[in-house]
Amino acid sequence: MHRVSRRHVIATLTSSTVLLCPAILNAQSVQLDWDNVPTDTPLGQNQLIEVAAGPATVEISALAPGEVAVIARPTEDPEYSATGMIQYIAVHHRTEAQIAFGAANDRDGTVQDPAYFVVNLVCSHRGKAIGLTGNPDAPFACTDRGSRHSSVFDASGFGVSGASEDEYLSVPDYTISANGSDVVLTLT
Amino acid sequence: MTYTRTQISLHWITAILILVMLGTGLAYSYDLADSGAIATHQIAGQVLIVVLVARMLAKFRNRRAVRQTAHARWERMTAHSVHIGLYLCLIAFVVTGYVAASALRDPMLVFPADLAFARSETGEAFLDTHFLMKWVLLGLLAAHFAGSIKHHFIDRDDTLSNMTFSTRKD
Repeated sequence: MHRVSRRHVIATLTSSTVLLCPAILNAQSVQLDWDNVPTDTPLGQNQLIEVAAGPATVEISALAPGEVAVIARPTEDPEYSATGMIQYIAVHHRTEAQIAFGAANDRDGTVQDPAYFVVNLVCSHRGKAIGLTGNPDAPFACTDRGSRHSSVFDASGFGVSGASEDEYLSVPDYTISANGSDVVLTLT
Repeated sequence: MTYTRTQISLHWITAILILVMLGTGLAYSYDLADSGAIATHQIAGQVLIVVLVARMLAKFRNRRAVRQTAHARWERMTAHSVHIGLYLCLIAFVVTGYVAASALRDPMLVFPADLAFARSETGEAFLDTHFLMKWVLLGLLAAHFAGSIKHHFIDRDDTLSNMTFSTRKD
């Protein structure tokens, strides 16, 4: 008969304990007071602009540096299933510090005007709505604050913690034209 | 009458896969590993689906396999319930996990489920269920281990040896 020695049992129990110890340690970063906020719509924006489906032109001249306008546009893309089939697009008017941060960190081709960061507010993890935190270093965060979600993104849309760490938020097709104080965003 | 070599192999492959799934799943959930963990979790999970199907086929083909008539009635009833529980739990795990993984932006799945369904309320409920079910699995595994240890060290019978490749009495 095959023998399982006491040593085998001890080794198995010890290694299982080591494997299960992640359950005891629960690392959390960037504390937000967002308990039980809706996860299908952004929050924290300074302006909410609703447009019809399809191409749209939006005027955002009144947006001050540090402020965020959110454009809500109906879509058929299943990517937006968790936000009620609405594509939420943020236009973040960057501060001087954020423009400098963007110059060093923006991905090529994602930013047309360094003062304005345009990004889809759909989490790269499971498609929940992204909210605006008001934190200049981490302006975007997933509205789902569950233990296995909680993504936080920096001013270039790069995931710095949570489930979307090391992933970028997606960027819509757009053009932006700033003529003095007139700023117009066109979504294609 | 005993388990076939195929069944024994599949049993231990399942054991290794469950360890991989628990390790990668928990490490990812508790932010101790990056997205490589969840990619491994999805790949191992799909292997587990294949192994589970193969196990069930092997079980139905070798239905008369193990009749531990030496065991008391309550022991056979308990073992049988835990075995059925483990099968159902693992099936529920791979189904809920597969749908939940389909909601990711870049799932590592061969045939991801419909994105709209995976990101619906139902899809989210699947993920919550997947997450809670680890306690059910750990409970069932504890019973499974306790049984095998009892038979091996206290009763000193062949129950555990039936599931190893060692030379058997029959």
